[in-house]
Amino acid sequence: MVEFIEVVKSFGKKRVLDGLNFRVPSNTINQIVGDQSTGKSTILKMIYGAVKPDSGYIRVFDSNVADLNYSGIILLRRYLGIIFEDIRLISGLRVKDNISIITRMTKRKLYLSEDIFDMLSVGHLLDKYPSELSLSEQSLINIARGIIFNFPLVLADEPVRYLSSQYKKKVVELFKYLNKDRGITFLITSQSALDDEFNILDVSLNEKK
Amino acid sequence: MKKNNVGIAFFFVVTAFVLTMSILMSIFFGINRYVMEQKSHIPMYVFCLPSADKSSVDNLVASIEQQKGVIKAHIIYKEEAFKEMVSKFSIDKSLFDKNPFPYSIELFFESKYTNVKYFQSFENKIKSNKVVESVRYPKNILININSVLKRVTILGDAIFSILYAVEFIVFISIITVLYSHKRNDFNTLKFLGITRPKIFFLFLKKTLLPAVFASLFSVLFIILIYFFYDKYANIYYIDKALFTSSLLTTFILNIAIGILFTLFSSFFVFAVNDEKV
Repeated sequence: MVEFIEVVKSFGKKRVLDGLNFRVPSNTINQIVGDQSTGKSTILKMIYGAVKPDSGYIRVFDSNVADLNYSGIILLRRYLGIIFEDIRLISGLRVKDNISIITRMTKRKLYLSEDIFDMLSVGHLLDKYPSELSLSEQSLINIARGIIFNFPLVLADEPVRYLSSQYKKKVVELFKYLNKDRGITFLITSQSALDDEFNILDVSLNEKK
Repeated sequence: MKKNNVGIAFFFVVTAFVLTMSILMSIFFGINRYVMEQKSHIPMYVFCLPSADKSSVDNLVASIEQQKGVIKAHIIYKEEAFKEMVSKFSIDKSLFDKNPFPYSIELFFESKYTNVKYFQSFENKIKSNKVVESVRYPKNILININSVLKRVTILGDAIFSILYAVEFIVFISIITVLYSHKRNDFNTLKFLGITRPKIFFLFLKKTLLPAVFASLFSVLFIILIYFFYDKYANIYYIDKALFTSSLLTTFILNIAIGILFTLFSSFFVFAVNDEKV
């Protein structure tokens, strides 16, 4: 589903990724584990086209992201569920509109799994604005937005960072359920392994030069 | 309701723009119209030959009234002129063995025809009539009033051009702030697969809505002000009729300019600031 071949990326003089290779098979839960500022988020951003590699090949579904023009990248993003590290809820919209905007503005009729609200215990937050929520509640909505439309691939950038251990467990169980029940593929980044059942990808993120 | 402080600020900017420009323009047009009115009060006198009889003078007036720009042609009869002179200067009537006055015609023109060039061509044309002896008008006053009017117009044009330019810069600045305030949200939408044209329309909605509400608010505000002024106040030197005649036009014009400025500024700000992320 996702494949990185000899991907190189530098920010100024700092080389973050040096010939990175890995493969994410379909219908699996995969995890990239690494310390802060080692390039985990960069990998996810490269998958959804927000960061371009200096060189190398990034296959997502059947396209090389580096070859896509901007319209192609926008189209690709419509098949990805993204859970952002910095949450990124739209400040002027209520929670329910933050979720429905994905279908409303792209004029798509996607199946919305309302059971997710119950599983994450966020049903009572739907009419609130992001500023009225705590950081952990915002984080749960960010997770819900990424998984609620059953996109085939979910990119989760440190999804449990702001959650209590009880909720961390809940989210991990939810990911497992969605993978098993609906065949959703996950690529998760975090600073420590979230679950023993998740595949840890060997992406060798420590080549800081 | 989630408050959008930059949107509120933009609402007040547009309100200030529409009110200031409309009221200033109304005052300017009022002054302009006043000077134009004064201009059309400048008379031209056509003196007939002493031998001219009443019927030929009547014919002359009829032909003058057909001329372009003439709004009034009034015959001053010989007797009338003589009587007025005698009463005004307390002169003994018996000193005159005959009435020294000829028939004369007092003419008034529409203000746009009240200028030296037109008066000269009119004089040349009218002088060809054999009843006419001479044509007189206050040439210097005519030159001065036209020069004042021209200066007022040039000054007005310059002031309004500067004000519009300044307002446009203010529009661009505040819309740039509005965009920066929403930049993160717009980028998030792009990550969710929403195209830039759709995001632009979303942005346009955020700029146009305050502009439309501000225009409506300005109209309501000025209606209220006028209502209270009409009912409870009346400053002698401010002739209401002078300003109200142009108020509607200036309001429509400035609302249209405000909306156009908003549209153009939004497009410009989006084109300059929005990135393909």
